[in-house]
Amino acid sequence: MVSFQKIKSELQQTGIVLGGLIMVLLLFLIVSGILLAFFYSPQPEETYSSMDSIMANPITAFIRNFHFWASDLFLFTLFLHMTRVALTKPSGKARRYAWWVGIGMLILVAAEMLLGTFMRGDEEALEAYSHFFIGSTGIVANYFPFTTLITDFFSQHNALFRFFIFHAILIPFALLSLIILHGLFAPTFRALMSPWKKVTEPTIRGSLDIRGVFAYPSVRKMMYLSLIALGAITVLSLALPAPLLPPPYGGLEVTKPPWWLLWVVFFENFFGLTPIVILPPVLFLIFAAIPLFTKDKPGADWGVYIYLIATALVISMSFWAALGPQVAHTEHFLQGHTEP
Amino acid sequence: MQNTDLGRGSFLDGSVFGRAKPDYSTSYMKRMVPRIRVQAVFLFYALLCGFVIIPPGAVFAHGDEAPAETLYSQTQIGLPDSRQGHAHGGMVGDQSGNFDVSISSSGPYQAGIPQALRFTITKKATGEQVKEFVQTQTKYLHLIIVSSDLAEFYHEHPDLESDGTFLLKDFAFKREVPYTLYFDLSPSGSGDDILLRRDIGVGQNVYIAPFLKSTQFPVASQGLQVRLFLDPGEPKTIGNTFFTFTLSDAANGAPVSDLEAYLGVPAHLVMISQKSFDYIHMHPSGNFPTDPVKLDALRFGPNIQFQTTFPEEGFYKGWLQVLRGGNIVVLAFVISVEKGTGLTRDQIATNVHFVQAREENRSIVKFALITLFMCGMILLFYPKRSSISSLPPSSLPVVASPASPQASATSPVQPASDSKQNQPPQQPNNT
Repeated sequence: MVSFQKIKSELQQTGIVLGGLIMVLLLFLIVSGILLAFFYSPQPEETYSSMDSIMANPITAFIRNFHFWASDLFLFTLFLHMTRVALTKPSGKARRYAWWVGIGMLILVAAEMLLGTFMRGDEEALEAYSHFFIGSTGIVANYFPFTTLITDFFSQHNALFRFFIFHAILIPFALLSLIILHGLFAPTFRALMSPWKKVTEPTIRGSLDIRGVFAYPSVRKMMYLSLIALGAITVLSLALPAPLLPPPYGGLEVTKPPWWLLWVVFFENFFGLTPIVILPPVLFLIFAAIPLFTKDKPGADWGVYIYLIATALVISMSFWAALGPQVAHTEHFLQGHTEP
Repeated sequence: MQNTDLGRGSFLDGSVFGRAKPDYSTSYMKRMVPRIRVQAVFLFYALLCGFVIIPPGAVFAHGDEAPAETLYSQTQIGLPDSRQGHAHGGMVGDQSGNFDVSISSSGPYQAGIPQALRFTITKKATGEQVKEFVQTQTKYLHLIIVSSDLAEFYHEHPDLESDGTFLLKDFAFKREVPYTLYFDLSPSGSGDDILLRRDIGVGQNVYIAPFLKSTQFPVASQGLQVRLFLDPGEPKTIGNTFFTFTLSDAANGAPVSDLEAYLGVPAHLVMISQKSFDYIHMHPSGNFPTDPVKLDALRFGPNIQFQTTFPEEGFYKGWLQVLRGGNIVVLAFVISVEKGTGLTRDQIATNVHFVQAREENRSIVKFALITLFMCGMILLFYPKRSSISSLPPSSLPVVASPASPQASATSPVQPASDSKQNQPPQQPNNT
């Protein structure tokens, strides 16, 4: 009979390798994204029809669904990984630097998810573009006029193509680079890599079977988790299609943002569009400040409390934004209507 | 003899299950505190995650929706209609729902004779006079006067008198035709600009209908020549229309880049529809300094851009006003707007409803799963103060060496108090 303590120990070890699972999920995203890129057109006149064609063909639809659910699971696992690290207290120089590099990766992931929403080219994509990109740059431009250069750069006919370059090339490369940097500082990363380092040289010499690496429990756990994730994504891809709304109509707002941005909507319902510019940087700053409140002693401290409170608030705000009615925040941009 | 508050045979001391009583020297509460703390955190988290918080965002949510009959056109990111910029003016029709204006003059309206016109703004509901106003584009009142055939255009700024009325001194109507007056102002406390419109007849009041046809560019006036680029090339009643005026010197064709700020912006554009005499007042796209000193130091041109939407199809006459060398230059032109096709908000909302509702349900499931997993993470990894730190050494349990294979395979996570956070060296599991 398996004891509770053994189960707890196994789960804790599983929690330790979540970072490795994130890397595997990133690999899934890159592969599925490359396959999708063969069928996707970033020309605005053809974008929606290319998405329609992708969803009409069962194979490309599966690839798209796979990409969608892999991104959701990626974000989910990232959240759990952050929680594990926050609860095990990123104190000490190395773990602090690893945490801060991780926050940088979090920002890149958020940008990647937003650009992925733009890529869809449907009603939600256009509203995301109007709401988050045009809206936020419009607000910032009131204080920093040079921001209009950024707006203009991503507002012309090749806007989607430029977003596509960021989504498909620049941000993934930046993420992979930061993963290497993250690994230099994260002790768990180094520990998980040690079995691979040990077998590399003998394998190159031809004297050691690569299969020996699977004798290590961490590697086996990573493999099992990856297979479970692959299975889960495959099942979800076959059973639940990725969303594709009807073609976009400009100047109105009839949809809610994706689930990972709903917490901002909660505040927008109160204060209009301005929270969209303020809240995400505030949240990233709160996360970045956590190591500064983490002390190198046993027990929870303010670093842990700040993380738990911040995430609890984000989740609760998201719940209520999901349950609340859809509210338009940007339609005063439409010409002919005065500001509220 | 260990000190325990539990007594024999209690559930908590384990003796019910035949296990030896643990050798604790701390009190019951000191042993229970770490467990309670984790449970308290768990409970706090579950409560905070949305089950008891009142949803103020849903209760007090306010929308910002356009009128229901507004038509929307299909577009895409990167196409002109997707560039929903900040609104730069655009009033349409008489908006005197809450306010009224009365006009008095020094005598009957006569053509060719300078007259003093006094305007009094009142609240429609109470008849109370409004005496305080907010400046917009450096003036309290922008008065646009056009003749019935749209051949004459005047942009005046009556003075705000001490009694709260506006006085336009020495204004002479040129012909004995009807004139339409547009009052563009912002009463203090109204929170917004309002537009009032009044028609007056001058002299014989002979109505002359506007006869408009589209202007062939370039057009010239007062030493300036202007070309207009429209996007889309054929404006429609739905979606944005972008105007790009390129100004050059009428004499030598050289681009003009020495335009001065006029009323706080590089230029003004007023358009009036032939059908309903709807009024649209636009300011250039872009951000400009509000400090008058900085603004006066800037020069503009040769390109000036505007954007607007048109409420109805038909001809529109426009007047572009710029300031050059201290002189106000007015350039008049006419464009044609076609009726566009599109869907209403309700139609679009109906189209997206199914997928949107499905995604909302999925979002709630995802948040529920996140909450569940978060609580699990707290139970697994919440950093506890060591409960054995105050125990005498003899009661400490034996801990397996971290270097042994069994320990590396099955040992729990090291306490968070280790700042080095070095994981034990991994050994293959020799099965």
